[in-house]
Amino acid sequence: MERKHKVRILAVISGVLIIMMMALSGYLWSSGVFESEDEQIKKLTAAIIPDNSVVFDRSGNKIGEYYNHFHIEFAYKDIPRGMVHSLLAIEDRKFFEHEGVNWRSMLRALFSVITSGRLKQGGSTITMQLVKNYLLTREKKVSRKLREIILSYYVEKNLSKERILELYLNTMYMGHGAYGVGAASVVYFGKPLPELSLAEFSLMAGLFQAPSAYDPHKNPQGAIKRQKVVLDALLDSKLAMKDEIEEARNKPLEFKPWVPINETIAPFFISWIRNEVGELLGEDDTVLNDRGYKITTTLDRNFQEVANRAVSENAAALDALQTKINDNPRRGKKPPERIEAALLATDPKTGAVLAMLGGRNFRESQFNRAVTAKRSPGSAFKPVVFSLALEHGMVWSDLVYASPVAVGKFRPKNHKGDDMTEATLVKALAKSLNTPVISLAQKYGMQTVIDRAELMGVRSPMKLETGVAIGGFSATMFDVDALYRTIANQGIRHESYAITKIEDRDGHVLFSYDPASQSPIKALDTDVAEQLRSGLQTVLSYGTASSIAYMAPYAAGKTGTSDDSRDNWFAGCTRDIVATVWVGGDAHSPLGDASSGTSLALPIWKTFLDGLIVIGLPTTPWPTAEGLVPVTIDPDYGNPSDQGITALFPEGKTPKKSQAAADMRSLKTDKGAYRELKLGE
Amino acid sequence: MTVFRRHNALALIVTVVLSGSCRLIGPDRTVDILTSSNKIEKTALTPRHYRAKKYCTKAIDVIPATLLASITSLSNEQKTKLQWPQRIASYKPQHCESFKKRGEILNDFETIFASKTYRLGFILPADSTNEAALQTILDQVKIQLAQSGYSPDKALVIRRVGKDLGEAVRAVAELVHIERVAILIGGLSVSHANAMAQLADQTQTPALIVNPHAQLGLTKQTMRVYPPIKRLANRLSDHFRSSSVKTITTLYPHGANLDLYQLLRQELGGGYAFSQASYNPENPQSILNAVKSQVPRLANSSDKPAVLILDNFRMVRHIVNILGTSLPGNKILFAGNQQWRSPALVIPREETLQGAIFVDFIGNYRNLPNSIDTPLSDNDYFTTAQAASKIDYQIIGHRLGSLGAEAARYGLNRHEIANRLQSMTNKWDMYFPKSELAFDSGRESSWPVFLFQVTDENIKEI
Repeated sequence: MERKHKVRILAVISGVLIIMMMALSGYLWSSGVFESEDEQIKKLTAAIIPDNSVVFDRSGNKIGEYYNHFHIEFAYKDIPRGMVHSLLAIEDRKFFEHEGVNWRSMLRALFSVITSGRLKQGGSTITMQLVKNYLLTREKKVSRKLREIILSYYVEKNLSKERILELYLNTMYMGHGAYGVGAASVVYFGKPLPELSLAEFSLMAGLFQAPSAYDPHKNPQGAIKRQKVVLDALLDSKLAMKDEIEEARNKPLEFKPWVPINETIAPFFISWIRNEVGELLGEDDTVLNDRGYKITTTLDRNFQEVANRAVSENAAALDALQTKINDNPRRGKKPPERIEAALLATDPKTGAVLAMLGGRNFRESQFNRAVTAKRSPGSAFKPVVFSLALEHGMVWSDLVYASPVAVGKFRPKNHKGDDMTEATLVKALAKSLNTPVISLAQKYGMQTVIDRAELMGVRSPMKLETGVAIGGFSATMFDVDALYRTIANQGIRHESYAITKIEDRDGHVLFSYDPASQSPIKALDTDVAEQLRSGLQTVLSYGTASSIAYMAPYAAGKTGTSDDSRDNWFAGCTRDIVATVWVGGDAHSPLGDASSGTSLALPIWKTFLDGLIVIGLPTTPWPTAEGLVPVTIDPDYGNPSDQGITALFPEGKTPKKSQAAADMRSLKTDKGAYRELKLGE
Repeated sequence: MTVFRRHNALALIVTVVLSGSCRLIGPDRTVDILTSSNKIEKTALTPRHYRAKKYCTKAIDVIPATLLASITSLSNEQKTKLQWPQRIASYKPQHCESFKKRGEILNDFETIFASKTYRLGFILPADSTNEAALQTILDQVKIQLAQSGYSPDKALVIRRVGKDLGEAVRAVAELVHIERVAILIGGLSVSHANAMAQLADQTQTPALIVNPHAQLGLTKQTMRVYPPIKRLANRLSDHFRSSSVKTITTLYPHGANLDLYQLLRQELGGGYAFSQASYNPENPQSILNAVKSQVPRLANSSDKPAVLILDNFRMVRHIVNILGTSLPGNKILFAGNQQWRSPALVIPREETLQGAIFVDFIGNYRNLPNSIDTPLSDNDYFTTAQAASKIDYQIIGHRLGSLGAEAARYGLNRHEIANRLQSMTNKWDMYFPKSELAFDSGRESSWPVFLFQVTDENIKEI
């Protein structure tokens, strides 16, 4: 009886257990705990650690990066031991001993929950955290925990301990947008990971538990408190020497605010390049993120930094103008929301983009005015017309007439006092007279002007209208830049480019560009280009840019100002660089009569060039082309003069003393009646 | 009457007749020598004669021989009252003792003779706005008188007179009745010209008036010396007719002299469409508006339109520039006057100006009289802008001075001078049309007229 009773009880218990086991199995089965691990494990075994696609300048300096999550990948062997030990000390001291699950720790954690009602100690190993982070959701269910345990076991079977650590240290969220210790070192300390000390490693190791809570930028005291815990753990685990720990404990930590490189050096360029790379690879530009591409560009980081400074150093003047306009609004004229500035610099010998600044502050406005904005180039376009005049045999000493012309309803005006005057061709250029250019354009035909502009690199559409001759159309900075690239390079235009090579993370070249293999376009005859360039040098020595006359021996350029000073330009070049500066308002608001390319854009250009020269930009004058000779002339009427301005003339067409010029001067100076026979009333 | 003194038998009484130009040295000068036997010998006067000892005895009395008869018939009282003619010089024989002395005698002799016997009264505005022009004319008149043998300082009696007509009349009367000038010159202003014409008629005094608008007097005494606007208009009209121009637009600065335009309209008569627009030459917008106002007419003209621009070459270039821009490709005949004349009109070459014409009263600058200082360039048809305006006044002065001197060559009374002016040709003045009378039937002085055409970077006479 007693035995039977025992058997019965045992049978009942067994039945209950079987039922419970079956129920548990059913639950676990239905929860997916026993799903195939192969696919899941593959995610880790074949995992490619996300890495930023990095943009380099022409000298190999990093200037930007593309990512969804900010990573800086480090192979395990390159991760400092202090970082690894700090992590192990605080998160998983038995990492190299267990097989994915530390049962003891788990029981301790379970006991803690049962006794205190809350989790004081984590029981998860690094492997389990990796599994949870990489393969599972963050939901708190027993089934998810069981699956975590099972997967961790499998991960340990398939990956080395080092690989697990590598994945962990490179992919875990570290707060403040940083993923992995490489990114966190930059985000919090502004230094690459190998440069950090144990004090900093220990601080970062403390972040894994609660990255947002211990974010040093938001909660420095909390982060440091956590660092102490890590250091204690290091001491306790004997993973670091005592004196090292003491030194780390006493070392003050310096947190540096992190500004992404994309926003510091060449944000507009980096933003633009993203699209360019996408187009070159025939993919959406988002594929760049985290792929670890290496994109080599033409930008010169040093030039770019000089460009950034040039705009920031002149910001006060722009702000002062802004204030002035706001304080004295013109009736019916909307003041600009903000006076913006943009700069583009290229290499005339290759077309390479050397610097680009699409606005004054990328954070405030990402609109890239250097690429996307279409603005009236104003007088900066005039060299196109002058190239035609020179090509048709005119020389700089020829007289042109600043008459008040009108074409239909279009009545271009000259600057005050410049109407009803005569000028040499070179003065018309240097002083930026409008009406002679209109007359010349009429003479040669507007279609000819447009054809020439396109040949010189203008891609924006131009209407068959007279106003185009003085820049009355919408152009990009690249359009303007192309004109001056052509002139600076003896009439030969290279297409602009910015990307020289794209490699994947394994070093496979996906794209490369060799400017030497390209066929440049012969847009101007050499002698015409040289004469034109010499004329543009007089803009500096004598004309609207005479405030930088000291640069005239090695630089040339042209101001441009559209109606009501809505657009203010200076485009100029040396033998080695073309730089174009634009200043204006995004809403095309007028900046007032006192504003011009001379007053707004030129100072930025000057600061830029001065800065470049300081860092080594050559100031070598252009050589005089064969068949051309420099002659100094009176800029008003063209007679040879020792006190005049110097420009290039074709041999055989050098100016000689002209009675015509003397007569014109006489009539303008004397203002007397000329052969009117006025004797009395 | 002590016209002739016979101190002794050897004494010579020399009467020198002012025979046209009393130049100190010159082959065309003649003197009548009254010998001791009371015979008059006519002989050419050269320095050699003055150096001859036979003329240097006790005294030399000089008097215009042509007045000899009338003088001798006058009583002493009459001569004293009129102060004309009179003994003008008496020299002692010792003055002739050396060649040098004799030369001085000759100089003084000529000077005194000119100042007393043949003088021009010159009325000039006291407040001219173009004083430089007056001075230029005056200088040229003096040069002509000097070249004709007169002492300019003494042969010219100059009066600067204001605009008031009464003042002008008084000044002219003083010149006529007190200074007893042989010819009046002036009338640069209309009021002066009217006063001169009035007095010239009343006193039968020849008058050369330098004003294009003043009315000439009723008698033949008054004549005009002024560049020939009518002839210029005539020449232009001929060209317009030959070019089949029917539409003519005139552009000119405010206050411009429109004589040429008005006379052109008269010459062409009906059948022509005229329009005009003026502008403020100091105001670019005014210029543009004036030109633009004519653009529709020019654009819609069925014939070849002409644009007459009465302004200087500088403004011409600007207006042509404006029209060339407003009406590209339109063929317009541009026309103008002497104000166009400059190399700056054609250099640098202006396509729109090709074939343009202008009239001028000066042709080749190299052909101007030697007394006119003409800076020449490589091109004989151009001089400098500074010189060009001055030359215009110089040629007027030249014409006045040479006419005055030439008129007196054959007569010394006013009536004879007037007759002479009416009848003489330009043979003596190389620049002016040789075959023509110096004055036409309308008493306008004859001038050459030239028509120039713009060809490339030059002008050519057509």
